[in-house]
Amino acid sequence: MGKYILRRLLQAIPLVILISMTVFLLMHLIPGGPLAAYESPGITPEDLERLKHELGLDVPLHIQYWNWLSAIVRGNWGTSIVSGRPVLTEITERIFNTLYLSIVAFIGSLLISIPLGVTSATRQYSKIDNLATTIAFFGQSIPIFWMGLILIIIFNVMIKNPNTGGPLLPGGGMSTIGSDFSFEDRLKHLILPASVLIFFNLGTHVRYTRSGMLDVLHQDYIRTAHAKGLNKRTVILKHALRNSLLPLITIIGLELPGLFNGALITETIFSWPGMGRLFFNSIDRADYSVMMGVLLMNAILIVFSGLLTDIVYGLLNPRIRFD
Amino acid sequence: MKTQSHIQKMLGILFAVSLILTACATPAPTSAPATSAPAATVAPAATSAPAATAVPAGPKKGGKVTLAVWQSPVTLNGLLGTQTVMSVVLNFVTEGMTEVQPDGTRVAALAKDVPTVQNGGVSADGKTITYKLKEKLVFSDGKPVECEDFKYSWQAIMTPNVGIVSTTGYSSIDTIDCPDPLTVVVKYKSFFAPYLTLFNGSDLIPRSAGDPKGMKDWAHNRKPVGAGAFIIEEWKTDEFIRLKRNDKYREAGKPYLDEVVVRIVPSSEVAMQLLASGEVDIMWNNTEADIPQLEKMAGVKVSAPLQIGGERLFLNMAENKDPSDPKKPHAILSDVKVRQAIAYGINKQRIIEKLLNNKAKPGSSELNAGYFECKTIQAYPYDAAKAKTLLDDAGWKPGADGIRVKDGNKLRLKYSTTSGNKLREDSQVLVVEDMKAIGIDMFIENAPSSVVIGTWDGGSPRRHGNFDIIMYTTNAGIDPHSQMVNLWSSANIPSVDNKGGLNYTRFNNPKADDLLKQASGEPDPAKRRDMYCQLAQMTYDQANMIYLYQRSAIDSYRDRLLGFESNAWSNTAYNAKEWSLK
Amino acid sequence: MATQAKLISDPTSSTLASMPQERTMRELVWNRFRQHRAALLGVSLLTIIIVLTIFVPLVTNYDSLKTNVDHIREAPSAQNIFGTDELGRDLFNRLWAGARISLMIGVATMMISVMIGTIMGAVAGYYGGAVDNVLMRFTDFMLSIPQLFLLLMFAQLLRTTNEPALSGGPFPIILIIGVLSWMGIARLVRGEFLALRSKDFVEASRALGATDARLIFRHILPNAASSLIVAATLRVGAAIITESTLSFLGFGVQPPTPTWGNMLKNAQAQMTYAPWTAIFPGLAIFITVLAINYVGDGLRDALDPRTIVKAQK
Repeated sequence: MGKYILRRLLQAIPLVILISMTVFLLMHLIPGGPLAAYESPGITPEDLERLKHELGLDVPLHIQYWNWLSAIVRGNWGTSIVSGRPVLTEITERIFNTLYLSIVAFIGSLLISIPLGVTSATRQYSKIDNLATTIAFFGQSIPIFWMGLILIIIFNVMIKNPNTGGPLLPGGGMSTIGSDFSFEDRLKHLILPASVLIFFNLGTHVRYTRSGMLDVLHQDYIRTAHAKGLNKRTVILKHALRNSLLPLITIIGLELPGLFNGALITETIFSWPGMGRLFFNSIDRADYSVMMGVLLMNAILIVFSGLLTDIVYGLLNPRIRFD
Repeated sequence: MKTQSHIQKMLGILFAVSLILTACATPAPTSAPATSAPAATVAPAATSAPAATAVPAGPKKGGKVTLAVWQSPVTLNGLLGTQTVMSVVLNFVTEGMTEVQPDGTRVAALAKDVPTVQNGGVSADGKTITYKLKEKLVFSDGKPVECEDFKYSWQAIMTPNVGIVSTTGYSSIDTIDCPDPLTVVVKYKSFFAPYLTLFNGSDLIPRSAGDPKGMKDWAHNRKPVGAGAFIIEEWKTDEFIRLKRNDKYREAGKPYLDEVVVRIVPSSEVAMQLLASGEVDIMWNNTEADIPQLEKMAGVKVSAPLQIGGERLFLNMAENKDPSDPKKPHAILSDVKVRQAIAYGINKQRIIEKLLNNKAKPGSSELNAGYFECKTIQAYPYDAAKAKTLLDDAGWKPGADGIRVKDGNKLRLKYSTTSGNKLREDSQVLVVEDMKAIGIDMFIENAPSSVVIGTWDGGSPRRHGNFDIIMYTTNAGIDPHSQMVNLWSSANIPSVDNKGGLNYTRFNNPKADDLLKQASGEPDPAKRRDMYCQLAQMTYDQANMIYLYQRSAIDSYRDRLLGFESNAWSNTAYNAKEWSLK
Repeated sequence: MATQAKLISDPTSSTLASMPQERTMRELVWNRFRQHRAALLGVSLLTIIIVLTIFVPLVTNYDSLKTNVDHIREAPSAQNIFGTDELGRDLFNRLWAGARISLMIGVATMMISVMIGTIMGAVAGYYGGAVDNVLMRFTDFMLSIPQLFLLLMFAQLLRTTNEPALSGGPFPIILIIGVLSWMGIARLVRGEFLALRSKDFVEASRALGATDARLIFRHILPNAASSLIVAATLRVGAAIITESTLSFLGFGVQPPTPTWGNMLKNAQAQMTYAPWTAIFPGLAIFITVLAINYVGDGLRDALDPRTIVKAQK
C-alpha cells in the first residue's frame, strides 16, 4: 500500500506541473495582460511602464514562468495585483469558509440521499421511489443560480420575520457584520446557501446510491442472505450497503476537489467569502496572481483527492488489489 | 443497417433544426417605427448640495456614526493603493496643503493661504511654488507638521521599486527647500500647470513613517498618521475600521463626533437594508438606480451634487483601421455635419429620466463644473428634425429600409462600450433607437473594460483607431489641464510610436494646439480658464466628442446626522469634522 | 422455419393469429418509450416549447432593440403576460426570442461535443494500448480542471481578442462549451468500443477486408448508438444550463441579444421589486432541461438492449 501511494504521488507531480504550465500560458494569452488591474483614468503610460518593470512583467514568458514556479515552490505564491496582499493569505483566509459551507452541504446531502436512495431501491416503484427520482431529476435540471435567486426572493424579500418585521433569512454573507459570534446568526446565514447546494447534489447522490443498491440487491449473495433467514434490515445494512456505496464513493471522490473550490455560483449569489467567489472576482478584475494561485491549489487538491478516493475504495472493497 | 440510418436521420433532423434555429435567431433588420420624441427639454437646474444645517446653539458634542461601504480596503497608504474606499478613510484621517470646496474653489487647509501669482506664492514662470504652513500644526501622534514632512513625502513618492501607483507631478519637481520649518519652497524642473493638486491629504506622509524603501511593510499602511480630524483606532480586515476623535486636531472643538465606524458589508444591497433599518447612518456611493428605493425610506436624506465630466461618446475622425493613419479621414465620421447630426439626434433627457431617475444633467462639455466651468456652453438640444436635415445636406439619403445611403454605402457605425455594465448597455439600446429614427444604423459591439479602456499593447481599439464610436466615462478632475492636453493636442494622437497617446478622436487643429501650448506655460489659473473655454467651444462646434450626461455623486444618510455636506470633488467623508448628531 | 413456410403458403391460417408478432427494433423501442410516463410528459413539454420558440418571435416580429420606456418594470398584466423588463420590453416575447438562442446553443454545443467525444473515444477504444493510454490521460487531465473555471477563462480570452466574430455572439460560446464538455462522451464511447471491438462481427468484417475507419464508423459505432443517443440528449440539457450560467455571470452572450441566462443576470439587480423578471426565464430553463432529462431517461430505458431482449423472449 505504501509503495502504491508513493508511486501515485510521484505520478502526480508532473500532472500538477503540466496543469500549472497550461494555466500560466492561458492567462498570458489574454491581451491587456496583468496590468489590466491597474488601468484607471489617472494612470499615465509612464506609470504603467514603471509598474510593468517593477512587477517583473517585461521579461520573456518562459522566464516569467520559471520565476513564478520557483517562487511557488519556496512558498511565495505571489501578491494579489488588486489587493496587494500575498496570494496565499487570500486563499487561506477563504478556504475555511468554503470548506465550512461545502462540508455542511455535503454531509447534509449524504444524510438525506443515502437513506432515500436505499429505501428507493428496496421499494422500487413505490411512492418513496417516485419522490426520490423526482427530486433527483429536479435537482439535476434546475439552474443552481436561479434556485438561489428564488430562495432569496421568497425568504429574504417576501416572507417577513413575525418578530422583527425584517426579512426572515439573510440574503447574503456568512454572519451579521459587526456582531459577535452567535450560533443562531451563523445558522441563519448558512441555511439558504447550504439548501441550494444540498438540493443540487441530491440529484446525483440519490441516483448513484439507488442504482448502486439496485445492482447489489440482484446479486446472488444477497439472495443467499435472505434464504438464510436474516431479516430484511440486517441484509441491507450489513451486507448490501457497503458494496452498494461503491459507485457513490467514486462520485464523491470526483466531487472532493469541488469542496475546496467552492460552489462558485452559490458563493457569488450569497456573497459568501470563499474560494469560489475569490476566483470569480479575480477573473472579473484580471487579478492574475490570484487566478493562478487558485487554479494551482485546485490542481494539487484534485490530485490528492483522487489518491484518497482510490485508497478508501480499496479499503472498502478488498477485491481491489494495488498491484 | 436500420440503426445506422436511424442515426443518420436523427442527426439530419437535428442539423436541420439547428439550422432553422440559427436562421431564426439572427435578427433580420426591421424597419424602424418612428419613436415618438418627447419635446426637447432644457435640463433642470442641477441638484445642489444641501447647505450645512445651521445649528443655533452649536452642534452637540459626542456620539458615534456608522458608514457602510462594500469595498474592503487592502491598504491605507495613499501612495500604494487605488481603491476609492481608501480615499474615503484617508479623508477622515488626513489633511493636505489645500482642499477644494463643493463649489470648486480651492481653500487653504494646512497652508496659511493658497499660493497664487498675486500673493507671491507662485513665481512669474510658475516653476517655484512657496507654501507657508499654519503655526503649531501637529500630526495625530503629536509630532509637528513641518516642511521636512513634505520633502520626505516627495522623496517617498519618487522611491523606485516599492509599487508607487502614480508619480505624476511629483516627478516634475526638482528640489524642495526648507528655509524654515514652516516654509515649503517647491522648485519644478518643468512647469506643471495643476501644481495646486499636489500635496493633498493622501500624499502627505509624516517623516516618522520610516524608510521609504521598506514601504511595503510600514505600520503606516495599516494605521496611517495624518493631521485630519480623526485617527484610526482599530482596523479589522474585511469587517470594520474604527475611527475616533483626534484631540490634537487644529480646529478647536472639532470634530464633534467621538467615533466613526466604517463598516464593510458584502454588497450595496446589504448596505441599503442596513440604512433602511437604521443600523448604519450613511451609505457610500449610491447609484441612480437606488433613488426610487431611497426616496421611499423614512428618515433618509439623499445628497446628489453634480460631478465634473461624465459619460460621453468618442467619435473617431480618422479612418477605422488597425492601426489608423490620422491623415486618412473616417469614411463617415470625418464629416462634421454627420457628427452634429448624431449630437442633435440623441434624446439625452429620455436616458436621464428613465435610466438615471433624473439624477443627472445632459452633458455639455469637459468643463461642466467647478472653478474651470465654461458657462457659455450648453448641451446640444434634442432635435431629430435638425439632425435629419443635416444628414440630408451631407448627402445621406434614406434608403428603402430607412437607413441612409450615400454612394452605395450605408450609414452604419459600430458602437462600443464596456460589457457587463447594465446602465451602459441600456443606454446603448436607447441611443440606437434614436439613431434608427434619423436613419443611422448603429450596431452594438461591446468588449470587457480591460479592452475598451485598455492599452495599446492590450489591443485597445481606442488606441489603435479601429473603432467608430466608443462610450465611457472620464472626467477632467479638479484641474482640467492634463485632460485638455491629452484629449485635444494633435501630438497626443495615439500611434505605434506614441502608444500612450490619449487623443482618441484624432482631433487635429493648429489653433487648438496653440492654445494648449499657451496654457501649458500660464501660471494664472483664471487665464487658463479662458483658454480652455475657447478650446471647449471648438470641440463643441466640431462635435467629435458627444457629451451624453453628467452624473451626480450620490450619498444617502439618516436624518439624525447633521452637518453632512456632499462634495463632488472629494468624497463622502469630505466634511466629517462638521458632522454631529441630533 | 416450418411455421414461416406455412405462413407464406397460407396467409389466412390461424397460425398467424396465434404466433407472437415479430417486431422491428423501432417498434420495440417506441413501445418501451411509451410506457415511460415521465418521458412522454417530457416530449409534450418540449414540443410546446419548440412550437412557441419558432412561432412567437415570428408572429410578433421581435426586435431586441425596441424599447418601451414608458412601461418599465411592469408586473404581469393582460397586455404583458409575463410583465416587462427594465427597458419596458415585453418579457413573454423576449423569453421566446431568447429561447431560440439558448436552444440553438444547446443543440449546436451537443453536436460539437458529441463529434469530438466520439472520435476521441472511438479511436481510444478501438486501438487500445498506448493510443488509449495517451488519449485517456488527456481526457483525465481535461476533467481534472473544474469546468467552470476553464469556461470563464476561455470566455474572457476570446472576448479580449477583440475579434468581432469571437466576442459576444453565440458562436464563441458554442465553441468553448463544446470544446470543454466532450470528456464524458469520450469515456462512454471508449467503454463501448473496448467491449465491442473483440466481438465476432468485427472479426468477421475485418476478415472480409474492411478498413479500420469503416469498422469504426459503419460497424461498431452503430452498436454503441443507444448509449450515445442518451448521452447526447442529456448533453443538450447540460449545455443549456452551462450557457445560462455563463451568461448569468456575464461571460456568455452579451445583451441586447436575449438568452435565458442573461435575462436572469439583468433580473438579479431588480429582483426585490420586479421578481417576475427573475422567475420566468429561470422557470423556462428549468422546465426545458427537466423535459430533456425525462426524455433522456425514457430513451435510456427504451434503448437498453437488456430490456428489449427480455421483451422478445
